[in-house]
Amino acid sequence: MKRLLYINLIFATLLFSTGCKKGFLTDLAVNPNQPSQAPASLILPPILTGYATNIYFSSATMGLWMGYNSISGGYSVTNNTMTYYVSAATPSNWDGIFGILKNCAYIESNSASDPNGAYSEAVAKILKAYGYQIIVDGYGTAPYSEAFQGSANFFPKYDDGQSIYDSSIVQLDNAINLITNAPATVTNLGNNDIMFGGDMTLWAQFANTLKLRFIIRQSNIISASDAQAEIAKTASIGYLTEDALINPGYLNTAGKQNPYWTSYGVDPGGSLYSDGYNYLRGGGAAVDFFKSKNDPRLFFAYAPDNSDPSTSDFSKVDPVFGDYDGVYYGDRDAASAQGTKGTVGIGHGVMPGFNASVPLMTAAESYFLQAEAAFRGWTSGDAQSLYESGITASFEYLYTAGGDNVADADADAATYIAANAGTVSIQNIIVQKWAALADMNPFEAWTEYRRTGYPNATILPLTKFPGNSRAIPTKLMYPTSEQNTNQDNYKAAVAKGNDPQSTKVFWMK
Amino acid sequence: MRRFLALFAVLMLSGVLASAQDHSVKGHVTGPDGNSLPGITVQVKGSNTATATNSNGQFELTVPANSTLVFTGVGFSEESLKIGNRNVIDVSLSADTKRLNEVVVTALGIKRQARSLGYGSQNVASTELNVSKPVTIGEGLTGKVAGLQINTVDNGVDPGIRVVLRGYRHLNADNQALIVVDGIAVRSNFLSSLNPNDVASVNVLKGASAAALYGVDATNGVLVITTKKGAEHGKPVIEFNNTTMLERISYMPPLQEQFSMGSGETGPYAWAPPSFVPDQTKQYYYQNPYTGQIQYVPYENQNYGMEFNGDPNLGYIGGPLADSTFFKTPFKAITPDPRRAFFQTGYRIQNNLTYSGGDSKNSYFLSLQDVSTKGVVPHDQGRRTSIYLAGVKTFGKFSANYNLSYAQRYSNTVGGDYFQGTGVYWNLLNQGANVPLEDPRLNNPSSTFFNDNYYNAYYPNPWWQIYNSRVITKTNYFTGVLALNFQAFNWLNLTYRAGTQYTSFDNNNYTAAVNFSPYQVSDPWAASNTASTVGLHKNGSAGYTNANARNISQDIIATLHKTFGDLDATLILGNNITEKPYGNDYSSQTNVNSSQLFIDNFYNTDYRIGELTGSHYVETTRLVSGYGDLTLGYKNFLFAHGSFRRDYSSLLPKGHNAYNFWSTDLSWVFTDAIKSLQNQDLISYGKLRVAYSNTGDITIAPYNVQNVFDVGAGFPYGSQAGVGLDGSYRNPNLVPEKTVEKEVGLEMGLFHGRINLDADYYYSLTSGQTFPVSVSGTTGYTSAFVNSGDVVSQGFEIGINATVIQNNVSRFKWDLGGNFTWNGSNVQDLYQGSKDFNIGGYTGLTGSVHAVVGQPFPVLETVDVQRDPQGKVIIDPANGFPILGDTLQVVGQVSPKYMANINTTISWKNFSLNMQASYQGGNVFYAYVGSQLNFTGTSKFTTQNGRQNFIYPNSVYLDNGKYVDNNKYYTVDGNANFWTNSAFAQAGTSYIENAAFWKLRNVSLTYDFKDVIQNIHWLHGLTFSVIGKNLIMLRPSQNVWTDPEFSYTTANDQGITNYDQLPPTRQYGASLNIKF
Repeated sequence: MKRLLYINLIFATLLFSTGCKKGFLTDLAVNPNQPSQAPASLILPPILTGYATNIYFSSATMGLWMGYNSISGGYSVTNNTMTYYVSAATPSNWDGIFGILKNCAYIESNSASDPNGAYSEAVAKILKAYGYQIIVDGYGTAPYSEAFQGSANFFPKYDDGQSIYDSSIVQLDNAINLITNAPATVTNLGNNDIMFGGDMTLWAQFANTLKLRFIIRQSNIISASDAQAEIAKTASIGYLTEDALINPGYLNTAGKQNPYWTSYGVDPGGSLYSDGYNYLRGGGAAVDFFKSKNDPRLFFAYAPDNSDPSTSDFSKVDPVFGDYDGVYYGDRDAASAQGTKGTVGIGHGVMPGFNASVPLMTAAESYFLQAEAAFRGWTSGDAQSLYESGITASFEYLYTAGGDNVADADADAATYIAANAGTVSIQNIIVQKWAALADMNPFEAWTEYRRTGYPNATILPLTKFPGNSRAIPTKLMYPTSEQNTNQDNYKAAVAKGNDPQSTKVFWMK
Repeated sequence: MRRFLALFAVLMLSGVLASAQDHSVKGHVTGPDGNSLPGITVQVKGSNTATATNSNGQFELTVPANSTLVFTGVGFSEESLKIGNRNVIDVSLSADTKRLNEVVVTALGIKRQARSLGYGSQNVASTELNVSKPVTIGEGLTGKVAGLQINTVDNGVDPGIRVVLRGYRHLNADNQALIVVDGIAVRSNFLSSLNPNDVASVNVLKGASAAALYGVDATNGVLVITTKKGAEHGKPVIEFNNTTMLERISYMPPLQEQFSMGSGETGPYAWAPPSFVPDQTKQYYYQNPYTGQIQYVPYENQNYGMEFNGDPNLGYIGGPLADSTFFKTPFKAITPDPRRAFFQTGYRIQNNLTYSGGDSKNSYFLSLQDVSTKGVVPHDQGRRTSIYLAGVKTFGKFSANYNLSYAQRYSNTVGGDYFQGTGVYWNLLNQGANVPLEDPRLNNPSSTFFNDNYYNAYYPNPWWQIYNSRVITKTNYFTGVLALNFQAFNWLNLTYRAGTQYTSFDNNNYTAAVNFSPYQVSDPWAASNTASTVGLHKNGSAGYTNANARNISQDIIATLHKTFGDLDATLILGNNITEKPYGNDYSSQTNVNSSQLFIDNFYNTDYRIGELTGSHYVETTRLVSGYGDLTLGYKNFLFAHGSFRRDYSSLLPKGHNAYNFWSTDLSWVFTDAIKSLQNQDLISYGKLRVAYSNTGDITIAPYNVQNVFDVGAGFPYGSQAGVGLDGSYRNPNLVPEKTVEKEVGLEMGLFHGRINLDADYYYSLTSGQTFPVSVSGTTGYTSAFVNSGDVVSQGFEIGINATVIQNNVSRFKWDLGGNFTWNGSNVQDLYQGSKDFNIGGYTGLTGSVHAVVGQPFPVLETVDVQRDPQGKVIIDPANGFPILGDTLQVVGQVSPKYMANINTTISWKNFSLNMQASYQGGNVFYAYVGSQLNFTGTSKFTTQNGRQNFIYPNSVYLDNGKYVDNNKYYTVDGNANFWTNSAFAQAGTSYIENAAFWKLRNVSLTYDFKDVIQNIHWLHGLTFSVIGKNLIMLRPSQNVWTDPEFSYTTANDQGITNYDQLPPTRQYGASLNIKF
């Protein structure tokens, strides 16, 4: 009995003596289960994979509007899906992109203590500008100056699109400056940079190309002199001449596949994601555009009838244009929409496999942007040559992704250019950009369409769905979550226009 | 403790034991349960002559003629008896927990006189707690205290318990009372591990005012449990008790025995291979040759087939086997119902041995207990073994009391099945009435039907599950408390108390692999059977979880006591440090197939190939507090009391982690204060009390004030790591929730203490609640914790105890007690104009539990069928079915609005009968099993229209914009289509039931053999009881499903039952108590 008593006494004494150390309470604030700080080099990879996933989310919305895709006859969908209907509940990636942007903002404000310092801050600024361009182009206005403040501001006000654009261009300049003037001591991002492998020259060029996109997007409202001056500031950096590809090392494991493949391709067990793959069929506008010009990119952008990525049928050995029959958006009566005649699905150039890289921006797009700047006289480049380089780059991307080689791509591109490229013009540039973006970035194609009106109705007719009264949307609607959680600011934003068929984003005519 | 006090009182009273007397009186004093009461003061009225009963409850005293003896004992009603010329006086005392002079253990172990308490509390003494020989303290407390709701949410081998005082107030945090054992806060699951026989008393501090000294833990009230420290009246006592209870299913939802298996399609199955129809020799389902309807599908789990008619041609279940034979069984319902017969008679055997002794200065108490349980589900078993040692030691001005205890709880119960992971009760309810579950072909693991060639194409054999899916848990508890006391001066007492409670929890679970025969996998009956879905081989799985938790707490308390004339002051100053570390490791390997788990039937995940999944979690929290407590007493009838506590918590960030909590109360014993009220017959005592408190609660989990990084989606990609900020915002500006509680109470004794009354009213407002709200994605986060939301909880609590009849001559006594509680809560505000907050709910339900502004909290919301303004159901004339509504609507509160309990003890000579009944009402519950039984068609409920088309009762249809009473549109189907697919089947309201009930919870009849053993010197007590529990439950006739006290969870989203709770049970048995 006594011994137990002593044990208890000792125990009590221990407890008491350990009871009053410094940091007795504050030491326990450190979460042992989840880190509250992380190096930028580890935050960057999910930012990039997040954007990679985002690019593909537009396939089943803007991909339809832009004539890239249609819906297989085997699926019943509402009339709205066939008629450009946009509502607050239309799937949008508003919350997803803001979730990514928050991480960019974190890196930006914590770069001082980061060994990757200037580089990570620059990359965060570039990727923040990239994300905000998607938000502004999609929705028109959004919280910017008051975003990401946590409990300091749960109700951020909306900034107008112009000011977000202006600030983003400044931030891209700053990013380029950070890269070019980085101290020698800064640590390279290395393999954690899953887009450029730590090559900061490429990041600077990407920033400069993105900046060019910001400027050209304002072609309807910006003066030539302003555009020239802004472009000239960073002209020495140059533009992307290679594709900006994201690849974290996609694996053939559940949740770790290429994002397109994991929706429309083959599961790790080798079975087709049949509900994904069979849902989308090749869009009539795009398929017919390729066919009408005997463009072999068709064989990479689309797969023929009854193809199956889980088998070798995915790409035909000797494809012929007659194997391909696209369905026009809204055409529910077409024989092909009924599933009775050859329709096409997503091709192996767009969706090469579980481990395929995702292009955040292609070299083709870079050349088309440069061509347009030259054509408008904002730079001194050779517009015709840049335009043709864009077409060639598009061939090269699809051919190499699809398992063919650059030599074939260059040869076929040369043939194609000779027969079909014509003289450079805004219309030709945008139509070729639309073709080059086929099913790879429908959001960007839709945005360029809104800016320029190309491709026109000859190539891209309105939906064939009977009784349609809607036009191609001009903007997306703010999501229901904003309506519920940021009421006052949402109302103020909506008061300035939120009609998806008529409200224009600031850079529209 | 009361015995100690009684003796103490005797010593105080009897400085001189009287002399010069006339004759000697002896007698025996017993308690309400018939047990002998030691330590009862027996005093000659109007003199100092007194004695106390010995350990056998016996006394002997020499008294003057015609005097009156007064029997007093803490916890019992005072009794006065005229002796006359009698020499033997046997007395039975009734329980009285309301005595004003009683000393009770209040917050932080502070002992105070009951008369000085200005807040609502109720003390439950050991005898009262153990009257029906409960296995757990929760069981023993149920129904005994007004305002206390204890739910045993299940009736498995080791059921969960939920303890709530004064209703719900926290929207998103625990509403369960704090449990404190000998000054140490313990986790609520410890309640099921403590041996009730070791408990001296449980003082229920009902509200925040009573519990304010617990600071951030005070808002939900507290159960202050004080354990026994030893017998304090001399000789060592050895006591042995055995209680053996049998347990049987008391009722199941009524199951139909009329209709056979089938899915009730009105035409042939589209997928039926034509070659099988309707060749009687090869036929494996019955198709009506005249209508073409398939009417008996012998491998179905649904029971919408034709009526059983004994047809020998249909005398089989399942389709043809590989050898073209059939599993033969008569085409009729089996009696007794095989689904009920599946459950066996369970038992609970308690063996309890205690050894105690000592005096008021030094005492000891040792107890050993073993509780062995066999469940009503075959092979389910549990066991609890505990050892407990406690005592008091005094060395001059120093004293120490201590306790050490160790308990182990073990359970081995059936787990989920291999296919859908559902419980065995659910798989049982998917068996037709003609399936012979007790046939060796089905229940013997060596039978080929055991898993392969399985007769039910969609649901596993429940017997397979019994043998092959097990969940084994083992929980070890250790507690140790030491309190040192130093009476420095007569006005200063110093106490140091330290204690710990340690819990280690292990969970092992496994499901064996299943191998089907190629024949079954080929889906020979074209049924899309489980075998063809699963494939030849279904992987086994095994998982292991270990969690351990400790509470370490120490208090330093100084008590200053001084009397200034009529004023009596007690000041208590103290400091408390509490630390709660917790850790959890989880490892699991699902999809372990036979090649991965490479030793057959050896379920250790080390013996595998491939990677293991697992997780690791640890946390530690600390709380440092300083407190003060001042009681001022004036002439022993007016008491002002106040307490103050400042808490520093590690849960909140520095700068705002310190908070003040306080309470104040006033107690006025008006019968002592007002002269004219004294010495009259009506009111023997009376006390008025008022209290006000301002307490709080930190309801966030640890580490919730700093943003964290998650592993990025999809990461790691091989060697590529990546992290991203978590989407829910950890708000660093959070402060504790705040609860302001006001209460008034009245305690009265009437007719010389024959009737005791305790009534109070309380009103509490909990504001600035911590709960997660959705925030704009543009903040970078999608949800955040905020301080917002107000909930009011108010109620009446009334307790009455009366001695209806007492005749000491015939030794007949009838005590009747009861308590009544009304609790009303109201959500006054949520966040930023939001009107509705989803608390949670069981997945799969068309409904969930919510907080809704203007409604009680919490409420159930679900979808109803559409109704016209008169409330009649609108049907669709096209099919005669109701039409489903499209919005969730509030259907009622889930916490009981009213609770009432009746306790009565009738004793006559050496017999004593104790009964307890409970009522709860004013709430609703969701009987999901109802919905599921309609799906399977096994419930009798689905046969109410004979499976024929019918006119939906009390329905209307829309005709030219008007609702017209429906007397012509029959349902197009009164069979499966109606019961499984119609809006009636889909609407949650079809299974929302009134949760009201009356239960006869306990009945025990005890006989005390004291007359038989009075000459056996070594035997000091022998009693024998027969006990019944939950013998009767009355409930609204619509509730045919289950016990409304059950719940799928012990969390706040109460009011939902599903098929994971077993059917209600009844227990009956006997108890033998021997004292040496």
